[in-house]
Amino acid sequence: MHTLLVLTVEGLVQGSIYAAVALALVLIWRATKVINFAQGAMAMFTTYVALVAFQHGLSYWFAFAIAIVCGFALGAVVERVLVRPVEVASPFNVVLLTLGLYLFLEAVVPMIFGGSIESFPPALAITGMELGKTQVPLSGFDLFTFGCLGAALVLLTFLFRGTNLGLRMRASAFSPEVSRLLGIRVGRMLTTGWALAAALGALAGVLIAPTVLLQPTYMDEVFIFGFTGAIMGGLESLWGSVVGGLVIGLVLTFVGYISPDLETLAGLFILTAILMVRPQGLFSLHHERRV
Amino acid sequence: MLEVSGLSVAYGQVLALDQVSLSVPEGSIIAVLGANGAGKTTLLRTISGLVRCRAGSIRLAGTEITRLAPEAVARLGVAHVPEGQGVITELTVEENLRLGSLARRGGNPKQDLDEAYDLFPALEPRRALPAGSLSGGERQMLAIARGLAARPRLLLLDEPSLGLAGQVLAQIMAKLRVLVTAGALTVLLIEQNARSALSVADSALVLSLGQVVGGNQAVQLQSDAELLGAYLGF
Repeated sequence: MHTLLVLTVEGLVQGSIYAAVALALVLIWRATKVINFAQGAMAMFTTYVALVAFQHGLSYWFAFAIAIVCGFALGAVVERVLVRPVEVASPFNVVLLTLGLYLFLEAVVPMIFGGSIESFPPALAITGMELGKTQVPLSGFDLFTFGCLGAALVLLTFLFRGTNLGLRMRASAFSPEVSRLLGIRVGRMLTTGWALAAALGALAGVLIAPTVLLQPTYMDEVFIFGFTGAIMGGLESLWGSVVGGLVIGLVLTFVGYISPDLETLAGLFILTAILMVRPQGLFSLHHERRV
Repeated sequence: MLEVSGLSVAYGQVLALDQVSLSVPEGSIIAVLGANGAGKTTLLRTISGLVRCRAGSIRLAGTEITRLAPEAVARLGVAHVPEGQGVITELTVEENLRLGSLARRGGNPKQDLDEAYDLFPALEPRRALPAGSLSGGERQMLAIARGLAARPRLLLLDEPSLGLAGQVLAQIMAKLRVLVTAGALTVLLIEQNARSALSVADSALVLSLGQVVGGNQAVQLQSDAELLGAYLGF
C-alpha cells in the first residue's frame, strides 16, 4: 500500500513535468500548427543558464526566475528570427528547422558551458514530509512541482478565456486571415505564443533537472514523453495535454518499478501505439494530421 | 471616401485586375457587379490589404493605403466582411463581436456589444454559442455586426447575398442603409446577384475579366437591358 502511494506520487510528479512540456507543445501547435522538436533542447539551454547564475552566487529563486525569463525571450527570438521567415515558405520546412535547432543547441551548449555532468539544486527539500507521526512520501519539492503545473494551467486558462490578449491569440490561431482583417497583429500573437511555450518548457527543464542531473541530452527523454502526452491529449486542448502528461508519468513510474530498463521502452511503445491506433488522441474530435 | 485608380493585380501570370478605377463617395452604397471570376473579390482583397497590387493606388479619405498590411488598413477604419462570412467558427458569437469591438481604438466593448444586439436581435439568444452552430443568415448577421462593431468608415461586403434568403438580406441592407444615411458609414459591396445589389445600391459598376465595363447609376442600370444581358447573363 505504501509502495503504491510512493509510486503514485512519483508518477504524478514525473507526469507534471511531462504535462508542462505537453502544454508547451500544444501552445505552439495551436498557434502555428507545427511541433517544436527543439522544445526540450531549448529548455535544456535555459536550465544551463540558470545553473551558471546559481553557481555565480545568485539565489536559487533568482536563477529559477532567470530560466523562465530566458525561456520567454528565447521563444520569442526563435519565432521571430527563425520560424517566421521559414514558415512563409512551407510548414514542413519549419519542422526541419526545429530539428536543426535541436541539433544546434545540443552541440553548442557543451561548447559554452562545458560538457561535464552537473548537479542542479531542487527548489525545496526532496525528503518526504511528516504529518504528525507518519512519514508521508510527499516532499516539499513534489508539492512545488504540482503547484507550478497547477499555476501554469490556471494562468493559461485565464489568459485564453478571460483576457483580450488571449482572445486575439485564439483568433490568430483559428483564422489568421480574418484576424488580420480585424486589426489583430497576428505576427505578434504568434511570437507571444512561442514565448509562453518556451517559458513553460524552461519551467519543466528546471523542475526535472535535480532528479536526472544536467547534461546536454537530459531533456531528450522528457521531450519524447511530453510529446506522447500531448498526442494522447489530442494536441488541441490544454487540459487534455495535462491529463496525457500525467497519465504517461504514472504509467512509466509503475512500469519502471517492475523493471527500470522497461521504462523508456514502455514510453516509446505507448507513443507508437497511439500514433498507429488513434493518432488524434484520446480526447480529440478531429482527424489526424500528418507531418 | 475611397479612391481607387489604375489598380492592377496579378496572380502569377494571370492578370486579375486591369487598370481598375472607381470612386466611392462618402455616405453612399456602391455595388460592383460581375460574373464569377471577374475580379470582384480580388478588388476587395486588394483594398483591404490581403493582396498586393502590381500597380495603381488606393486612397482612403485622402490617405494612401496601397501598401499597408491588412491589420493597418483595418485600424484605419476599413471593415472587410469576406465571402462565406468569415466568422471564426470556433469562437462564440460574443467573442466574435468582441474582436470587432477591439479593432478600434477607444472601443467600449459593453456598449459595442449592446449596439450589435440591438441591430441584430437574433444574435442575442445565441451569444454564448460557437459561431459554427449558426445558420448561414445568422453568420452573415454576425459577420456584419462584427465589422460594424469596429465603427468603420468603410464597410467592404463580399457577396452578402450568398446563402441568404431574400428577406433576410433585405432586412440587413435596410439596417445598413440607416447607418449610411446617418452619415456614419460608406459601403462597397460586390455581388453576382445583380438584382439584389441594384435594389440597395446608389450606383454600380460592372467588372468583367478584371476590367471595368460600365459605371452607371443603379437605377439606370436596371433599365439598361443590353448591358445587363451582355455582362450579367439575364
